[in-house]
Amino acid sequence: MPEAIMSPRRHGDQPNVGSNLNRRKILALFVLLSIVLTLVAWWGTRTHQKIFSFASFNAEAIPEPLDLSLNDLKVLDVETVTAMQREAAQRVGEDLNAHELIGPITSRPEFISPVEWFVVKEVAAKNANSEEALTRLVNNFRFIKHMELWQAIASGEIHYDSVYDGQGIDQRALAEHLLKSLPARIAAKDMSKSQAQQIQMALIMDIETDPLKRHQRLREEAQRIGVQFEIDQHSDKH
Amino acid sequence: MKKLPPSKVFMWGVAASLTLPFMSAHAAPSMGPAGEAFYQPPVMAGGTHGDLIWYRNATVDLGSSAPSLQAWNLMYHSNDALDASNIVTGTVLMPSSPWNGSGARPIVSYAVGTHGLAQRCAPSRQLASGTDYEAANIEAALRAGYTVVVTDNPGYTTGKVPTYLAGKAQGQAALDIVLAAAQIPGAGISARAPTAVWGYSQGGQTAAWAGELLTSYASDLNVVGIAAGGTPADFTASAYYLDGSAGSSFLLQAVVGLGEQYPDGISIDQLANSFGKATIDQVVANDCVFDTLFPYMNTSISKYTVGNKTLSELLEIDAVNDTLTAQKLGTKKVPVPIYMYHGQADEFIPLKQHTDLKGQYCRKFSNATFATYPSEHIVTQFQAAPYVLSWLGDRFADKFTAGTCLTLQPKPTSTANPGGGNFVVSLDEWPLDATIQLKTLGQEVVLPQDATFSADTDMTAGTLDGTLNVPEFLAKLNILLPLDVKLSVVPVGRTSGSANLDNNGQLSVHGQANANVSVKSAGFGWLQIPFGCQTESSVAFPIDFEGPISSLGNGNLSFGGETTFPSMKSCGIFNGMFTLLMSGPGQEYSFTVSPPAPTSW
Repeated sequence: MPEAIMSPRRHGDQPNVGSNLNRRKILALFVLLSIVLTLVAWWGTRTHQKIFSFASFNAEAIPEPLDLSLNDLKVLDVETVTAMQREAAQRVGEDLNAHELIGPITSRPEFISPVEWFVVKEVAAKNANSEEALTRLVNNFRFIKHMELWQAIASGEIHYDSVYDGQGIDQRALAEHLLKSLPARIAAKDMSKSQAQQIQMALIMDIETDPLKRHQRLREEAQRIGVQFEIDQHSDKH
Repeated sequence: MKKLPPSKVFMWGVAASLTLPFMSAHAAPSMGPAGEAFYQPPVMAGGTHGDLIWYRNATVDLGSSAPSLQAWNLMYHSNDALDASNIVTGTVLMPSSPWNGSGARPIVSYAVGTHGLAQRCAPSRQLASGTDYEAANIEAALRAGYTVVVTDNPGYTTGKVPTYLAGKAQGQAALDIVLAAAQIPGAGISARAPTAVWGYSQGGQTAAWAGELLTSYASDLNVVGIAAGGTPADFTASAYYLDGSAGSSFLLQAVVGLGEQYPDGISIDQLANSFGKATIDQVVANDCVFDTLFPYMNTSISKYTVGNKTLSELLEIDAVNDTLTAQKLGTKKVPVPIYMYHGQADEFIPLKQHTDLKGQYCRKFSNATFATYPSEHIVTQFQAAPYVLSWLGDRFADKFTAGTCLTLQPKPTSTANPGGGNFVVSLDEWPLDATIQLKTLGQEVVLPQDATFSADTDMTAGTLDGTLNVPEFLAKLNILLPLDVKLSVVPVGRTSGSANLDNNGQLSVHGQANANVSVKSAGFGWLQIPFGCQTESSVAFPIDFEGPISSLGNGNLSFGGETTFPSMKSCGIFNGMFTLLMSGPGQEYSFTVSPPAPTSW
């Protein structure tokens, strides 16, 4: 998979390493950057279970949002809207290594189209804590789109009217990412445990071909979302 | 029933006189004792029907939603069906809030339906313990602001065996309790207050009898209306309908009750075989109405009789036939307006003999209104309450009613399920009042008014089998701006589950309805949702209810909770957005089903 797609986009986090800096300064800056990255990594693991606590950075937001007004939306034609949807869909598979967004989200993530962004903001604004609601909606939306992308690839239904083209997407990596995302979706009450378990089964059927490994993985993943996985011995024989 | 020999009766009386208080015939009513001693009549020189013997403050339990009220138990004089003096107990309930209408606070003498023959089944006892299945109707009358008096009926609490379905005795007891209640010191109840007698089933018989007795027996009362539903007006026709059918336990109890009142007419000792006597002993000793409903269902009376005499053979006995004929209503004019009502699908009491009674009353120039309710016996009892109370309210307000004696409507005919099989309560296209609260959108979707639920609840088999019908409808959803989004809720498969009625009259329904939810839009030019946009699998709506049987009829049969909407599918380029907005757990739903409205005839 191309690195450009695998890596989350971070605008403005590249230091301006001018050629006039000497090696010592470069080394010092490298050390400083390492410390910062380590702290960020530590902070990320520390807050993994607190996915909806707010921090002051927004790792995946696009700094130049295409925010449209309702009047702008009204005059769009079908071709433009479809193109917007396809453009957003192209971005869905780019951030498989990204953690849950912790907000506040101030601008439109690329995987959300301008039309969708307008709707999501409107829905979030109805909540008492609209910032938190927006973060939850965006995280859930990303999961939903990841799921749709995986379904499109897994079912081979990438065809002319799908917004997903599936190009360059590692199906297995996508499935693993979805599995990892499930506990957060349950915690956010975006899905029930039984829904999550159904998704787990579909994903693991795709990932693991060996029956024993598959059962082992099903048990492990079920435990992660706090449910029991019972193997039906009768159906197992088939 | 076995009678005590005279010598033992005398000895018991002597013994009792040594321990029980003595009251002279015209002594002022006194406060009665607490506990069960209240039901032991004091030794008295005599009394006139309607005289209060004693009373006490009472606590009744009508459920958590009942209005604040004062209550008394009372014991009073009445007369039985053979005009012999008897002693009856009952309960008086009065709202704590002041009466805001004109004149004195109206009185409703509420005549109960079958409660069962055991002494513990007496209304005053069940009102105290919170187990009376008619509490919902009594509460409704209290909410209307009326004083409600509830006779225990003769034979309960003060006798050995209730004289169940001895219509004249019941009617007199329902009238006398009004006179007696007016004598409770400080209660502020006026015997001249506008009064109505309301009852259903056995209570319908009581109310109609009270109506026919008004002129001869209770001319002092200011009775302005009678409401009698599910009335066994022609006892012989009712007996044939009950025999070997869903309501056969009522026939067995009727034989016992009438045998108690008319020992010369129906001699249990001579007519009942050993199995019959053992069954009667059991029913009299222990059973309330729901204890007997299922165990004795679909049983022919011949099973209990010497030589397995059938009902027809029993009616060939003059004394038996005369006893049943003596219960027949329609021989006298009811001098005040009467509201008669019946369930068209009544499986216990035949509709025809009640419509015939209307004809008899109309021919005597009674002012009769007849209403037909669409469902069966139990449902109708509780569905009718608001209609009855509205009609009674008009009578208390002295409004004119023309009645329905002159009608061009066709005479209603029975739609009851066939007798002899399982006890099935059919919900035939009952209006479904349903809302779904979409969690993410924060919007409520109200299903269309013509949504219906049809089901057979087989109380014998304990099963529920039904279907939802929800026509396509428009729901305004705020997605981009308030859009008229066309939604469909398309049922998938049948609504199935369990339905049970326990011995305390508590209904239990557990099942599940499944439906696909689909979205169609008519908004922006580019926001056209493709045909087939719907949940990728059906939405499960658990149908769980635990509550009193009255909920079946009075609009309180509600199912609610949270469900999970699956992801959406086939919604085109906005599929993900619709999944985001509509799917997931926490979608609240509320379904209430209630019977269709009655019709007049």
